[in-house]
Amino acid sequence: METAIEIRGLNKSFGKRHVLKDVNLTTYAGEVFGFLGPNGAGKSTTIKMIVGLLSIDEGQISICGNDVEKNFEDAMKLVGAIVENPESYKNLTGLQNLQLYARIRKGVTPERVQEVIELVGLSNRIKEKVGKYSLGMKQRLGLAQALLHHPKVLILDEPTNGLDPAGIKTLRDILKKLAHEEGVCVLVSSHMMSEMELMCDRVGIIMNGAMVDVKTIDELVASAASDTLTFHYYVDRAEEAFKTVSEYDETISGHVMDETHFEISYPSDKTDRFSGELNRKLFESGYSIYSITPVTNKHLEDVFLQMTQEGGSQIA
Amino acid sequence: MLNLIKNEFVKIFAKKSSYVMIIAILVFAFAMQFLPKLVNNQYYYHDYGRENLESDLAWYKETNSDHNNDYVISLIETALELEIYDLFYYDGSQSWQAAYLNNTYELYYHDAYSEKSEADETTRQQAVNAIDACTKAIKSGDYKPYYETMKVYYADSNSELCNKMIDWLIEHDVVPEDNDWRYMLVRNNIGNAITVSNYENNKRELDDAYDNAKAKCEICMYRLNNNIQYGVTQLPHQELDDNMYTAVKYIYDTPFWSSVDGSSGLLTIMCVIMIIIAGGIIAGEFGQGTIKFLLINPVSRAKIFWAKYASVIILMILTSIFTFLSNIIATAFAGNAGIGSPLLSYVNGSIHTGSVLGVVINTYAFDLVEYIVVITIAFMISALFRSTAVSIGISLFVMFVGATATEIFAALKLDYGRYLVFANWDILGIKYGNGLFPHMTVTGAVINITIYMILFLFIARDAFVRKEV
Ligand SMILES: Nc1ncnc2c1ncn2[C@@H]1O[C@H](COP(=O)(O)OP(=O)(O)O)[C@@H](O)[C@H]1O
Ligand SMILES: [Mg+2]
Repeated sequence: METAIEIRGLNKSFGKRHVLKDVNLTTYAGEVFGFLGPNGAGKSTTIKMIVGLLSIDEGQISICGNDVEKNFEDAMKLVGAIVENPESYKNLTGLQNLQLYARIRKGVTPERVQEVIELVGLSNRIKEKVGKYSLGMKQRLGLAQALLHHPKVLILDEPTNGLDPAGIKTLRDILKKLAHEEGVCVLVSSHMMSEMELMCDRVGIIMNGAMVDVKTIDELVASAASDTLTFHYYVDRAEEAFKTVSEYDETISGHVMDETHFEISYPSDKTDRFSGELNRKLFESGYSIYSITPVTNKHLEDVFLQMTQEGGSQIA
Repeated sequence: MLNLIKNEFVKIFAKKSSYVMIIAILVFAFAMQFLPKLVNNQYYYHDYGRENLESDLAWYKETNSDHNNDYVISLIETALELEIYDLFYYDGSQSWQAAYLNNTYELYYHDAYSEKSEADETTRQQAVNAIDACTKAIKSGDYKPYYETMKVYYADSNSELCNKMIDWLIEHDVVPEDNDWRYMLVRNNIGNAITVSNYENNKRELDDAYDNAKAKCEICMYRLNNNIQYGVTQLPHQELDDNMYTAVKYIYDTPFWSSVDGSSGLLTIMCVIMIIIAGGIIAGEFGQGTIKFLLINPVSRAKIFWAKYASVIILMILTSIFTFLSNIIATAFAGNAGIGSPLLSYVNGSIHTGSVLGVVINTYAFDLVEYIVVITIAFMISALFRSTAVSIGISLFVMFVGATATEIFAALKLDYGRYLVFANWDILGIKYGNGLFPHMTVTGAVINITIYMILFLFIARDAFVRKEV
């Protein structure tokens, strides 16, 4: 596999605040890599350093072998990116904005500009001033901008922000196609796990400026699922019932979903003892249990929540 | 690089303020042409009139003490009789009748009517006749005797040039009205002719003042002989202008070019607008957040920096040209004549003609130096700060305080003030000896400005290239 982004021993401080701690990360051509972490974890900071917006305190970043500090122009020829919010010149139309970038990147023909406009679905509104665009439309324009010059590495910082469900689906399809058919390395950051699950091949989780884990989606789900069990309860009074259950043992976690449904998880080695006792306790306390379903298909969202809770994380 | 510059222009002209600038320049160019005309016209006719002269007469009659009163009273009475009301207006628009009457009285009244005169009977009679002839000539509208009297009037200075000029008017039957440029030209140069003969007759050492007066007279004769109504006189040396305020090297005797040259002040307005553009060209990208998208292109930050600077400077130069052309068009619209006037100079005993356009462009070009320094400061500040408002505010503040502080240094004779860039950017002023500090030279100023510019740009570039975004 061809290495796309390579980050080694990356450190960054803002004043006394140590924001990135020894971050190591390698991504490859042909994959969609999810860069996950709660707000303030350091995703945007890392991305800004990849594209040269912030200086590197310590460590190296290279793009397809080009060091971003020493070989900035060559590295950036291969990169398309949206960093934080997709900002554009408000007094210009979407098309004029794209033309600005087309002019200063090599090999972007007017046909290519039209092509990316179609691709992101902005054809009807491209001649309007960007000042009138919604966040979702700006997001699409940002994506078009990032794709103009056929980048080998595409970096998108929270690209689903402001997109409607249809937009998210389009984005997902575009990114998968780029990665799997055209061999682009796509790095997508997000704090919303559920979206990533459908979009990404691999994910890296960053917390408090440190990489916690890098795994394929399947590995991640499996590893989290193997030592915990989750059950879905349908009862008459979910809130009170959940309270009764979670007070029973501190290893039990979970959440209330609505008035009649809640979920709990506990370590799998305690199943034998817990399952009988918990249900008896609920029964004795006078709750009506309509159904109990084991949840086998563990979602990334839960894994992520679980991991961040284990880390005792506060928003950094 | 060209594409980067083109992008900057696209961004600048996407803003409404840029069009406001263009319209403002046009409006001001026209306003400068037409407003003074409205104001001036009202002002002129105020003081002219019979009542004024009559009240003067009454005043002289009341204050009876001065023995000179007889003279003035007689002069005014004659003027009133002849209906000459601009008797005491010695400016360019005084009628020949008024001038003639004044001259005649000055020459002959004493001998003709004063009791203190020691003149013999013949002289007295001649004097009386001269005054009679004057009033008769004025009544009949015959201006020839006026020219003869003029020659007598200036006879003391024994000026050959002066006589030559007046003779030319007589020979060519020039009516002495202020709408005849030949008459006006001679009138304005008689003083110079007398200056020249003072030097020559008294064998005084020839200096700058002589050179200038001589050149003006020779150019006057040249214009008369070649029928050149409008022209610009290039002096051998700078001299104070009529208002004794600024040193000048060119005398614009052509409404068209004097107006275009005078309107170069319009560049100041343009400069303020350019400060706003330069102050926002980098800070604005931070304000909008677009800086992140600009800097991730495969273009080094240094290139982006220089492209932005070049854009500001190019825009500045284009705006100057635009201002210049607007002034020319507004001047033409205002109906000022003399667009084809030649530039006349007198060098080594002969007249040379050249192009006025070059001289006027020169004025604009030298003004541009000052504005480029100002714009560079604004640009530098824009690179140092993230907010457009802060950046523009500080630029205007620095400009205002810098220039004022330098003038205060100069007034307090604090000599190190001369090393401030604000003391050096008026190169034309320094060239003409109007520098704020003594012994300033053009070379010194150019070196000073160059050092500052390099310093400013180095600081700005460094800040921009290192900036954490
Ligand atoms: N310019 C800055 N100055 C100081 N602290 C910053 C700056 N930019 C980001 N940070 C801090 O660094 C941490 C990581 O921020 P960021 O990378 O934006 O997080 P996210 O993962 O949400 O994108 C946060 O705690 C944030 O407050
Ligand atoms: Mg972020």
